[in-house]
Amino acid sequence: MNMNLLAVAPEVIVVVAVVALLMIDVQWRPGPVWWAIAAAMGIAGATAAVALQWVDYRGADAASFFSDMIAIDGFGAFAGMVIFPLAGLGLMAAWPLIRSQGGRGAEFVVLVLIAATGAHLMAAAANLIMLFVGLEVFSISLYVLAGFTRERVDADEAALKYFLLGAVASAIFLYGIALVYASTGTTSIGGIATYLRSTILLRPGVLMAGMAMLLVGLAFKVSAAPFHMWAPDVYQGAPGGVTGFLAAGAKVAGFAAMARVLAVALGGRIDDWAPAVAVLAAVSIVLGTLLALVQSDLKRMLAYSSVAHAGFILTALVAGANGIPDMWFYVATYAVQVLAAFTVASVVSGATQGRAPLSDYTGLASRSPWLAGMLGLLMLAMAGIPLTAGFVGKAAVFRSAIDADYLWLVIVGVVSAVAGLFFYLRVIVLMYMQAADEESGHIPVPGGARVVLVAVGVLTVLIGVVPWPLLTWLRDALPL
Amino acid sequence: MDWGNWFSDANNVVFLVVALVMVAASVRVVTSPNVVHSALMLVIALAGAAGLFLMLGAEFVAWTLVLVYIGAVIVLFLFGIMITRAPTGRDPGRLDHARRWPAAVVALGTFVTIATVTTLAFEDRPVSGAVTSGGDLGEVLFNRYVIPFEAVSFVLLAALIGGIVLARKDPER
Repeated sequence: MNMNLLAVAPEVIVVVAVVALLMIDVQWRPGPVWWAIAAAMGIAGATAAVALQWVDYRGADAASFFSDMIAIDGFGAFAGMVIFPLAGLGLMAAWPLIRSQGGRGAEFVVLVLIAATGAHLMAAAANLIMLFVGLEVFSISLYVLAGFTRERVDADEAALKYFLLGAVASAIFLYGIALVYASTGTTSIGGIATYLRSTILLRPGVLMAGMAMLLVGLAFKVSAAPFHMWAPDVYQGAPGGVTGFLAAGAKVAGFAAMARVLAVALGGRIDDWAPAVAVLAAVSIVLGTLLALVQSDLKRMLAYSSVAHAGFILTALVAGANGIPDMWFYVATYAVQVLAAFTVASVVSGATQGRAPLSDYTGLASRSPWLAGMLGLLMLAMAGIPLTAGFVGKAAVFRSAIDADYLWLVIVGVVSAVAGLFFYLRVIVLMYMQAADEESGHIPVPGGARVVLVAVGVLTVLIGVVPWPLLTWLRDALPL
Repeated sequence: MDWGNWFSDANNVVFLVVALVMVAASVRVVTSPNVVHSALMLVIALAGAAGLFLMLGAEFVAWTLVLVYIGAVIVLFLFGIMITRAPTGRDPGRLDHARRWPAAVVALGTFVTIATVTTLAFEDRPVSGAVTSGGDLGEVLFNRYVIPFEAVSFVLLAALIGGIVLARKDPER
């Protein structure tokens, strides 16, 4: 067995932080400051470890370790460099929620850290079994986070719905692994790819069925239509402070897993799955956009818009491995935007609250010009207005799809993106062109949320204006 | 298939008996009006599964099933029922569901699909590199699959913390 501790270093560091945090909390009950210190050390250590992986193993040096279970490659390292900072930002945005939970706050921090570990395991897995275990680590933490505030019934509903539907999706994914194993005789991602390249399948039906089930399981996790039913209820019901992390983390981890499974393991059968992915993408884009148009709640609208964004990201995947850099660009920039957008929702509508009716945002510009400005910028970025990262991301995924001869999908995407402008701009119009209620005053912005919003705002504009460094960089973020 | 030959093999007869007992017990698990009876019926179904594994020569899996599922999980169920003061007597109204027939159709359809697909997929081929004995399983678990094995403990940790967070009353608040 070829061991390399660097391969598991991010996970080990985070888990050490988790265990230390739990132990210290049980023994001394030191309070939120120490939770923050433990979490910060864990996240900083893990980020440093993935950065080291990126430096040492990106591009041609990629390798897999522990009997072909964990890969160190540009792909997994980049995923880690998105996931761990995202968890840090998520914790900062959720800090008012964590403080409001009293002694249970420590468990909240722990669950976010475990979720980040699971997400990175999904991205770095070199074996479908490993990927599934990572998926479960990640999902179970998210189910609990969605129902963290017990006072509200809609949070319980969100958690239960997420849990039951998520468990079904996991079962489908697992059965897909079994069928792929039945037809290829291995669960190793590299092994499946080699087998499919070198062998003509006598009965491809079994592989097709397995492929379909893997796709369904992962499409559920990234909330691609028609497997998106849970997303609006979960995002609306979950406490405001954590919704951003739920949405952003699920997108990053889900698409990392999807790219590895489809483009690497099943890369040789791209002609079989690419049409299915294209249909999923088109349905997600159209359905997400149409349903977002009629929402009267900001979090629900963002949930449907995240369905549409899942479709845009899938658009890059129809190009197979060639689309992975463009997929990463979109996923990374969208993840921070959606985290920040839900952060604004948690500041305006309350960190423990589920609902965020759009009426809360009427005339926000006169009450809190700074918050309104940030939310406006994020809406423009999500709509894909030029000079924001959202525009470059959309251009990148459309280019991938055109290169793969999916012109119809690009046309569907462009038309829907224009239609989507309506509901993003509606929020801006509400904030800037309508008068606020008399009694609603200035909204104080907690420090953590302020840091998150500034960081995301700067990133969104910076990457939107000069996207080339990141785009070049991402050419090395390819899987093994 | 030649049924005379099929029945003359003692293995097949034992399989048939165990399978029929399992099916009957499983049906009672969902139709019994008493939660405790359901749990006990589940014991019979799981014991049957353990028996089938024994017949296949997978003694480690069989005993794990007995120890973990029958020994621990069912006892946990019973404790759970008692601790939460759920009604333990006959309670047909709460345990029944108006949509039981659609549910039965879905369950049967799922069973038929999975059974067909699985048998088609794996045929009669022996699985390559199959491990059945306890020693081999330990070898595989702690060598080849050590990282997933360790990662499963995160799943349990997350589930444990989640269970505490969702169920515990706050002392400080």
